[in-house]
Amino acid sequence: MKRIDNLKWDKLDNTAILFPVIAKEGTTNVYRISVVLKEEIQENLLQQSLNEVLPYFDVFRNRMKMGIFWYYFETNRKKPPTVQKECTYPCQYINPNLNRDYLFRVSYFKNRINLEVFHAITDGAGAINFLKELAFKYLRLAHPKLAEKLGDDLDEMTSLNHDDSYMKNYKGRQKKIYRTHRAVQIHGRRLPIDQIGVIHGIVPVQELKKAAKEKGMTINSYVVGTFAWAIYQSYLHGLPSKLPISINVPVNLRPYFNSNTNKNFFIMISAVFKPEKDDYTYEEVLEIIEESISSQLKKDTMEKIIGYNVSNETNLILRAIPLFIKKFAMRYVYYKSAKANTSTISNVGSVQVPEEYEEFIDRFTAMLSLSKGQNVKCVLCSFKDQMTLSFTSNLINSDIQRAFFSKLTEQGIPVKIETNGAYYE
Amino acid sequence: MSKCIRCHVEVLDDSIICPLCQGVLKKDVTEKKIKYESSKLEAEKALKETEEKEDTKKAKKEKAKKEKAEDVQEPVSRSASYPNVIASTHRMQFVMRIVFFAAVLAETVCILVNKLTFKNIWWSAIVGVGLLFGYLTLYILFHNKKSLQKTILIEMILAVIASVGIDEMLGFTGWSFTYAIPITMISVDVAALVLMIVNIENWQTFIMSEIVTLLFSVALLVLGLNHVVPFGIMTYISIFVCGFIFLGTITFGEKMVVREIERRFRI
Repeated sequence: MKRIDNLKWDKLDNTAILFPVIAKEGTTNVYRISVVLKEEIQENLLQQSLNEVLPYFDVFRNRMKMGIFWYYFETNRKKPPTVQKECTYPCQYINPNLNRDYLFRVSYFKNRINLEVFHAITDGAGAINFLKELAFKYLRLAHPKLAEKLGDDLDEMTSLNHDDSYMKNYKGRQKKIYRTHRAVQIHGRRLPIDQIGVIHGIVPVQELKKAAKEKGMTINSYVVGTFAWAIYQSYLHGLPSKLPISINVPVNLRPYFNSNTNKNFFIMISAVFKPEKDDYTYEEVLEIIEESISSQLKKDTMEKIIGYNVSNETNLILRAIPLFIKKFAMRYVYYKSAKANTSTISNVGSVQVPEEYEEFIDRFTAMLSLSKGQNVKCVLCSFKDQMTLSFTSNLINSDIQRAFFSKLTEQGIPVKIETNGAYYE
Repeated sequence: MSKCIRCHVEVLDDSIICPLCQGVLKKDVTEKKIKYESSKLEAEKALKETEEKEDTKKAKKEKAKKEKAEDVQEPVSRSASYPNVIASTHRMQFVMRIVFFAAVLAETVCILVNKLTFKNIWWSAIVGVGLLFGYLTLYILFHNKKSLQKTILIEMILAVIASVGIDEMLGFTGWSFTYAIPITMISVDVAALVLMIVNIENWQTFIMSEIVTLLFSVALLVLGLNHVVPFGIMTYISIFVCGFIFLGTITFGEKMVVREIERRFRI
């Protein structure tokens, strides 16, 4: 056996630090990104694709270890995880001890390949990068003509960079520029533990764009605004509330800071709507949300948020506190700040693939696991001319999703619904 | 494809109800027709097959069984693109509950017998400690699914606590400190060494176990020399074994050991 003296290792990025501390069965911090092909998936080919693609992606070829002061990543020299036919609910807890120490898993069902990722290793953009390469490799294996035509290398658009972009763009300590107030939290009768209800709404991008444009908004703000409206109407019944509806919107920082890292590089902004009077109109809610989002989408604001978030990590006194004490403190802060969020809407964006692969792919979808105080979440993901809005929830009641999709259809946007069957049980 | 006339959405699932409002869906007429005809064909085929078998007793039984099943069959709604997940039965949780119940029952019986036949020793408390240790061991091994190294270290701490507890219950003669704890340290250290050899690709992972046992052994000796706890020959043997295993690891592991320690202790 070859003796290895130098094992690669890496620090966790600024956002990743929190995830291993708070992850557990109910709060898994696992998200799923899937690609739906136009053909049935063959397990052996998918396993082969994973075996061949994984060595390129250092971020995925890691395992997490616990130091005295911090968690850290170390190259995982075990075989890639086994590809499995999907047989559980999505976004279940990834126990590294049962997954060859890897922090992601690959499964398939009918035409769909699922990549489930523990958020500590990467965010949606990094996962899309990996999933695309996995799908491309699979398609080249399933259709050897593609390999003949395109060669068998990684796509030139794929990035293998794994810089810590938070540190790279840290420009010194900053004061906290956002306040954390309590927000409306969506409660109700829950589905059994471990069970997640998924509702995908498939809509044509053009129609959605047109509707958003009519209101003078981006698709993202339009969807967030409609979601806030749905919560306001179906959960608060259009009544005033002492607490605001606060929707977390993760912002991919790569385009703003010219980064192509595969590690986490995003911040959370909050789209806030406080119903202080009776009967807000739909347009009024959209306007408030649009204003709330656009006021935070400025590069200097983002720099300040990065500055504040990273400053704690650079503080020598805080760094020297043993991990088990840090974990208590971090959990406390997390549970306290969790009360300030109603839900999360993430936009993975428009997934682009080389045109040779386009004819084999039907769509991309994504979904989030649920977290403390957030019992309904949504992810947007588009491919070619259709966008999939995927709601995950651990509540039996799907009134908010109904109000949301009904509002879209009322605006002239046709919606096709697909679920994971949890609402029929 | 089905439509919900209330929510104005199309539903791609193989369902008769809308997942958003639970109202009955409006089926596409052609789809309805195809479904009706296929179900009619299936029914006819099944009838023909049953008629052929009707003479035999087995066929009659099957027919009765089928009829019974048809009586209670509910209309099925399911996702067309997700697996039909059968709720996890949490078998291990159930086993753990049985173990817990049996342990509580056994301990209660022991306390009663101990009380009725009391002769200066509360031996039921010792049984209680043993049962608790056994239950926690099972929980850590099968339920919590921690890494091997963590499992061993947690077990070590539990064993130390259990032995000191039992020693205390028996009037504290100090055997837990002079024998039990040092032997536990040596066992854990030897286990770590074996695991390093077996798991040669990731052998450096188990250095932490060696460090922990060495620190425990040193602490035991320091406390013993300061007359805080009793100590004996096994305390020295424990330091000797743990120290030499660690020294051997450093000598043969070279840079890998230094780097592992650097990573683990990085501030």
